[in-house]
Amino acid sequence: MNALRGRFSKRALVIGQVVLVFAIAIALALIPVLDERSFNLQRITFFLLWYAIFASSWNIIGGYAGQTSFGHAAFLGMGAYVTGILWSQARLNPLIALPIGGIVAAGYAVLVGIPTLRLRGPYFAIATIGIGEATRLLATNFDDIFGVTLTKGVTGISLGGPSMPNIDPITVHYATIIVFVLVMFVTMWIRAGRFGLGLFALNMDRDAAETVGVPTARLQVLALAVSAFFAASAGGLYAIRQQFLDPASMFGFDKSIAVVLMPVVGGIGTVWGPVFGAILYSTVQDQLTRVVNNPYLPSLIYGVLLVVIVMFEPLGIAGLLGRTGKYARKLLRPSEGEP
Amino acid sequence: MSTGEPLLVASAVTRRFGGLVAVNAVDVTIMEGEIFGLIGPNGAGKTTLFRLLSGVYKPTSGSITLRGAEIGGRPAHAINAMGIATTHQIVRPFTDMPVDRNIQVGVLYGRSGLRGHAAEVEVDRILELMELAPHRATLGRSLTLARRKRLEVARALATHPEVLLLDEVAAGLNPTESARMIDLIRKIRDGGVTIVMVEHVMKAIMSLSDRIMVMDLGRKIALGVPTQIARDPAVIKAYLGERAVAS
Repeated sequence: MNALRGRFSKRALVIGQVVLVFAIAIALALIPVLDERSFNLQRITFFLLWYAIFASSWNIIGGYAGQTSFGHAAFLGMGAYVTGILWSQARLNPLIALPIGGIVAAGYAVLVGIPTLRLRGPYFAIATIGIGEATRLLATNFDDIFGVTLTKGVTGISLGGPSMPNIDPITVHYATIIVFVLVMFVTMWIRAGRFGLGLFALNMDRDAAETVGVPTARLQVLALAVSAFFAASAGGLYAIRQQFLDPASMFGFDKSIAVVLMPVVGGIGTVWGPVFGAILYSTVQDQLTRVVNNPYLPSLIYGVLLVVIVMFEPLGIAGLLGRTGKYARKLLRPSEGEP
Repeated sequence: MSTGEPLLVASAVTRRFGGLVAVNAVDVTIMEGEIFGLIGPNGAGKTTLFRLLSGVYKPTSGSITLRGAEIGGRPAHAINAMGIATTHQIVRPFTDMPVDRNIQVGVLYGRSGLRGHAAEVEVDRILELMELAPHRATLGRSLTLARRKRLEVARALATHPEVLLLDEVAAGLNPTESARMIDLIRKIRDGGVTIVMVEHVMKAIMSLSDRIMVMDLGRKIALGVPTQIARDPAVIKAYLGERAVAS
């Protein structure tokens, strides 16, 4: 155990993870190269990465900083709508609109984060439910303002078409991979460095963190802003790929719940937990739905898996894998395995 | 040792809680490099004064300055950045972090400005100084009370304070552990950190302090070197009552 915490192995672990992220990215990038007509596989890849990006974004504030947000659909939807509106109304290239959506959502996160992040525990969670719902209602009712069409309310907006800057599906595929790589590196970097240490410290004891100099309010707002940026990027990618947005699906409370459950089931506060959670969620919810031809069975299976995993391992799938790894090492080196 | 400059100065500090005057017009000057003890019977106002000095409370009237700069009304992390570090009476380690990461928080967010490798070297130095090196990988939640208390001091020390405020660090320790803590506090002072301590363990405070201030009912009733304090009639009266002075 002591040797594992050594600095050398810590660095090796970081390098190993960077290599793993690149390996995944390259493998997924090869899909359209090997088979241009692999539409189904591209679709599966998109939703897998989309869930992983969204879940990883939530993990920054909910896992690292320990502030459980039940309103992340607000940032997801804002990214989707800002990207979509800039694309359709301002005729902006959607890949340029995408980061703008992220920045707008980050600004919104700062605005709502400054008052709400003072709240602790369940009170913050409740406040974020309010933010999520209020933002959904805003999107529903801001159908047009000063004669400029914005969200078109409940009917939603259709994107793409001949009048808008064109983007081909393979470019979207690569853009999604790049955002995924980015979110993985950012969450790894935060977790390994000073920023993450401060977040973990305030997560465990906010008052004690303050007395050793951690500016807890500032760090939390910053974490929420980074989190919102990536949640919004996920939303923007959805807008570009699906080319249809409506408030009920993009700002829906079900999205806010899904994004909490993925990191929880995968391993809250770990870098790979949200990815594991996203794999499980998209497999059970999306793929199984197509196989079993029953709309309720996948949710039931997912629910049961969720309860079982959380009951046996609070660190989710990542925790289970970590335990298995430790057990494997013990078997390989029985002399060190003795307690 | 109290040969330095005035460091932490309270002038006519009063703190009221509703109708209760917890600290009443107290003047005190803590000199650079000394160990300053604060004692008094229960309810004397020493914890309130301690919290005023650490910036947790703002004085109702009067002022508290560190090297001339007013400390009242700032958030806790800003007080730490000014050079005042505090330990909690009920220790609060980061429970799910190993000991070395606990200390790392202090190094990286304190006043040292150290980063990267230099910060890790500093963590090692503090682990050695506070005799926690063998337990560096132990989680905060799994430490014994004596080690938790040492970690509490280590983490505060890691922020490179000018003055370290210790709130009953010897309380609850057995005589051996308490003696070890006394040695460590002396070592910290010898490293150039001024120390203010509130303590109920008389042996600890009498043997460590350069000067002791005694409070009773919110007022300063005595201030001096430990031997003077032990003979002071006002102090004996406050602790033991009128008849004890007469006999």
